[in-house]
Amino acid sequence: MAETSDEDLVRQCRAGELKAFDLLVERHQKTVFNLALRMVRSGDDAADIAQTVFVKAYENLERFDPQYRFFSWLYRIAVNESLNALEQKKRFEGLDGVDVAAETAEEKDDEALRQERKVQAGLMMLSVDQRAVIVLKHMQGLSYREIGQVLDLPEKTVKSRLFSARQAFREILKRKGSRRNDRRRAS
Amino acid sequence: MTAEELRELINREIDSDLSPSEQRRLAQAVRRNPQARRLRAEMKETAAALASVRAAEPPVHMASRISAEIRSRAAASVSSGRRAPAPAGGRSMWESFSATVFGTSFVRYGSVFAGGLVAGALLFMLVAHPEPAPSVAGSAATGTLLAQSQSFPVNVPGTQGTVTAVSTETGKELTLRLNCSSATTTRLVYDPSRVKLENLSELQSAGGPVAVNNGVVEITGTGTQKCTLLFSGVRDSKLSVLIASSAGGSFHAEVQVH
Repeated sequence: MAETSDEDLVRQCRAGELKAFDLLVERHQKTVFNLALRMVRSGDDAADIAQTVFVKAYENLERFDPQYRFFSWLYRIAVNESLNALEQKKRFEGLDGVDVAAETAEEKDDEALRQERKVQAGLMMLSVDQRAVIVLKHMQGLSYREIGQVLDLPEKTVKSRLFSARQAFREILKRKGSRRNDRRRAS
Repeated sequence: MTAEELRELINREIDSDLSPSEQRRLAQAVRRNPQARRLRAEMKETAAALASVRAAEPPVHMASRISAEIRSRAAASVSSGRRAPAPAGGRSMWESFSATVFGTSFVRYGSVFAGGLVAGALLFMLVAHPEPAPSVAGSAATGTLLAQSQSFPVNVPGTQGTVTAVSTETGKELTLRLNCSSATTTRLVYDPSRVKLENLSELQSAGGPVAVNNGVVEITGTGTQKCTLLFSGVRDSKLSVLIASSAGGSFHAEVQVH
């Protein structure tokens, strides 16, 4: 049997079926959580953001324009909420989210984990605009057009921002790599 | 080919966006130019690094917490007379309670009055309790409680208050004191894998938990409730307290770190 589409679930929800919204949450919770996680890095903050995203989506379902894909709309809320959370955090803590914590024992033994940590730390060094396009492209697998819909940008701008973001990320990885080599040589 | 064109083609190759003729142009450029070859290799390496990040699993209870919050909001919007998607099938305990407490006559005749009271109360909260500033959205009041003792007086008849207690230090215990006046339902939402709740018997004596299930404790009661409970959680674990009270109800929550 074919799976009910998001748009049908939205229609059911508008008609008062709360269970339809539960299905939407079930279907999209992982991607929304991961999008927020890559934007803000903290798992707890990402879970809070995901909750806010779904609550806002529920409360604004009437405003959802069915000519767009539901997930694009949801991702747009998620990006905005992530930016709000980062802004709030910056205001309260005066930090820009740059990871300075020491490597854990678990990470030392796990190359994949170490690589992920390096990538996440690199992402946090990008501007939030650059981070958003990188996350939407590489972690959510959206097309230029879909990214444009989420961020409300023309495709051309998406491309140039994505290319600059990759370039910046490449420089960050290179710097991190050379710092690591310097430390190895020193020890 | 200019450096700018080369950069664009390499990036679009990563995104599988090149036409066959563009692919040929890029292949040619890479063959002839060692710098182009190096740039292409580095960009591919960058894309591979980004692709290596695995998707994380969301917290186990995230979906149930969202579901609980959505149902609370739906109940609140019914009580304030706003159009809300109501379940077509069976109602949850929370929804049944809301329908009982916020009966249709209240909704019909009290919404204008309640709206005024809500606006007044929210204004009062903003003016009289600036620290820590609760962010007010719609009919709910939200506050984040940090490491020191804080209190959040909420006096919003006919609507909901939300307080989130956050343990900022590993292994510390928090005491949550709730003082809820008449006809109040309190729902505690937490992640049981991160938070341990104790003294639930206190809640029993204050009206009795209606349900303790998957990180949601729901209590209903009439008359004054006063209960003390302990919860200990790992760093940054959270306990959300959602309160719905009928007209005239008031609520005071206080969290202390020990």
